[in-house]
Formats: sequence, C-alpha cells, structure tokens
Amino acid sequence: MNPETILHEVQALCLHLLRVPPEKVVPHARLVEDLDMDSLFAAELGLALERKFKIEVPETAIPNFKTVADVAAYVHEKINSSAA
Amino acid sequence: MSRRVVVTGIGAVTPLGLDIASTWAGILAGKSGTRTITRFDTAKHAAHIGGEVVGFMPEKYMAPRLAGLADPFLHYAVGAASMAMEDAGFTENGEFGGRMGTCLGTAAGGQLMLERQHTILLTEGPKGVSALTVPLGIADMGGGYVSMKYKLRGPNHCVVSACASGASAIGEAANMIRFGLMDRMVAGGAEGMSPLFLAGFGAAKALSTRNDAPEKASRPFDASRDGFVMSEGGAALILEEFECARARGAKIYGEIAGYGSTADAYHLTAPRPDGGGAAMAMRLALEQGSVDPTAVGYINAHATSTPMGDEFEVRAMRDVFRDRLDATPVSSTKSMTGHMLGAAGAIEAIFCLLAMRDGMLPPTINQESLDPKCAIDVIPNVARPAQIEYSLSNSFGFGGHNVSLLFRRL
Repeated sequence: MNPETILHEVQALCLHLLRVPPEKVVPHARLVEDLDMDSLFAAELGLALERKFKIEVPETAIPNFKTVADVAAYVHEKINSSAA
Repeated sequence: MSRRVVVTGIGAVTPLGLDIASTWAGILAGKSGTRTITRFDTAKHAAHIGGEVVGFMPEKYMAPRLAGLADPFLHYAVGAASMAMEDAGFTENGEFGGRMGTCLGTAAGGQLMLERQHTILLTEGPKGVSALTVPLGIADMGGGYVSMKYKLRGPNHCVVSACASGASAIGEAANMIRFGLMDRMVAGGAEGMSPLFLAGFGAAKALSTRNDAPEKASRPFDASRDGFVMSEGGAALILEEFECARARGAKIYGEIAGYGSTADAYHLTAPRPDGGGAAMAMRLALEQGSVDPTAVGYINAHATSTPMGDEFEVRAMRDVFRDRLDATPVSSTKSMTGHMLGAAGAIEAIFCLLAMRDGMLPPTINQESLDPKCAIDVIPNVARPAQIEYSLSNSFGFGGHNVSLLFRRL
C-alpha cells in the first residue's frame, strides 16, 4: 500500500470516528487541538487502525500521534516492516 | 409553608412519535405503536413484536461522534431531556445550573451496547473492545450526559427500579426539591431494546406471543391478554420548586402532589397476590398530597397486559378506592406504547399531566372482552373528555418495586 493510499484511508478513518467537517481532516491537522480528540477517542483510533490495517498499535505509540500525517506515517512504517 | 413541586417542561421519544405532540396525538387517537421488530433478527425468539422507535436522529441532540457509538437508551434519554429543557425555556448556557440536577432512570442501561461489545470480547478478545464500552454503556450516563450538555451542577444520578425506574426518578427528584435540597431537577427515564432482554423476558414467559397481530398484542385488562409487549423510548420532565418557576414566568403543566414508594418483599417477579405493596404505594402518594381518594379523577395504571399483573393491580386499586373505583376511570396507555420499561413511568406521568391540561383521558385500546377479574372502567378503545383535578400513575417492577405518583392540575 503506497503512502498516499494510506493517508487517504487514515483521513477517512479519522473523519468517521471524530465526525468533524471533512475539510478539517487535512494531513497537518492536529488530532487534539484541531480535531478535538480526547483520550477515549485516541484509544478508539488505535483500535480502528489495528482493524483496518491488520497491524498492532501498542498503547505507547498513541501519544506520538500529533497530526493526521503522523498516524499515516506510522501505519506506513508498520506495514512495510511487517512485509519485510 | 412546605415547598411545592411543579412541572415546567416535558419531552419524549416513543414508538408513537419522536416528540410529545406526535406521541400525545397518537394516544388520543387510540393508535398502537407496536409492530414486528426490525432492529435485530427475532426468528428464534418467542416474541417477534415490540414497540420500536423509528427514525430518531440522535445527532440532533448529542455530539455526532458519541451519537454514532452510543446505546439507544442514551439517545432517547438525551433526546427527551433536551426537548424538555427547551420546552421549559432553558438553554445550554447553564444559567440555573448551580441549583439544578438530574435524576434519569433506566431498567437496564446500555444493554444493546454491552451485548455487542460482549460479542466482540468473545470473538476478538479483550483488545477488540471499544474504549467507550463503559462510559456509553453504564446506566447513569443519561443524567451524566445531560448534566454536561446543560452545565447542571446539582445531584447527578440514576435510579434503577426495573420497570418503575422512570416513576421512581420523578418521585425522588420531586422529594429533593420538596425537602429543599435542590430547586430544579431533570427527571425521567429511558430504555433501548436489546436481543438479550427480549430473550430473557421471553424465557420468563412475560411477553405476548401474538406475533401475527402486533398492534393487538398489548391488551391490558382484556380477557385474552397473554403478556406484555417490550418497547423502548425516553421521557423527561423538568421539575421546579413552585416559587422558582413562578419567578421566571414559566408555563406550568401541573404539580407533583405526592409520591409513594414501597416494596412487595415477596418474589422476584410475581406481585404480592393481595396487591398490598401496590396499595400502600398509592396510599402514601395520596397521603403526601393530603388528597382523599375520592378526588382522583383518573388513574394511569401500570397494567402491562400480563394475566397476573393486571388482575393484582385491580385488586390493589380496589383496596384503596373501594366502591369509588367503579366511578374512577382507569386506563393503561401501554396498550398503545407497549411497555417502555425504565421509561414507562416517566411517559405515563406526562400522559397524566396532558390529560389534566387537555381534559381528555387516554383510552385502553384492544378491548374486546373485559376480564371479569378486572371489572373496572378501563376507558375502552376511545379517549374520553373529562375535567379532572387529580390523577394518579402506578408503576411496578421486577424485584417488588411499587411506585405511585399523584398529580394536581394548577
């Protein structure tokens, strides 16, 4: 899966989960400050990523997600490392 | 002088409609809100019928991200309470929030949400379970969410007394105001439908299995009744201390004049055969209101359409009202709404208030042949005009709960 596809998928996932206006879910949007994500929805996001991309997202990874692009980059790395 | 409690706002989501106006119009027209259940597969259940809420949009009242995940019970609790707040003239700015609290009842809480997450627990394991399972599944979150939305900083709790929960919540909230602990309360009840409860009530042989005629299945007091019809929805009332309500020029639906609450101390599900616990609840409600039974112009019965329950309630009413019962109109609106469980007592309180306001008594529909053991005036099939000063509403629940609320027209 290429980085662009992953980014689109992550954006769609954030949109579905957080129900914010679609134009707000840009790559540099900050999850907490711009998209109003709290700790409960951070956990939900981890769960949704695991389901969607069949990867493991340990709890310790979640605090490192600052922006939508961070999440996409993490997923990309995980998929590639597991494929290798 | 003792503090009086009045109702200044009402809201509801029911199988008959998504607000008070449509629900009350349905009641006065004698419509049934029960039909074949479509929310989940009922093929292997004893009962395939229920009173589902259809077309409700929780996003109108809740944050969309939570509405999408929340249990129906929470949708209905927040929806009904929001409509009641708006009706009473309160906004989300929390102007009166320092002396205003919530008391919203439910029998089961977020049952459907918990059942779905439990299925995930069994199939995917604990890691698949949603982080919102507990906050959106627990029974108290109706009051919790409403307090956050409207910035109400008084007591915030939930009453659980099975099918009497909605009535208990109103009675407890009214007493908080009466005894000076609070000035305003949001009170009521909510329930969502779930497969486990349909199966559980079915196994206990409590449900009607008149699956081929869902609209005729709930028939309290009728000789051919065979159980209740499980239903869902929410109903909420804004209770205020009388002087506080008057000071802000609020419209007033009526007064909560009395509340009686007792236990049967007898059996898990069966009511006490002599109706003693229920009779005591009615007496306590009349006593708190200093009202003689002869003044009561209408009784909204608990009567769920079970063979035993309806008969024993008639016995209890006979014990309290004696010969006067023959001249007292009694109806069961569950014949139209089905049994909304934890919301039932709250919606029926609203029906009592509207009956007094409009001078129209709700009927008991599906009356073909009155059970001789229930030989009272059940207002058969058609609503009836009558000017009344007092009405009484009974609510009972598994566990032996008996609750009676007395309302006065103002």
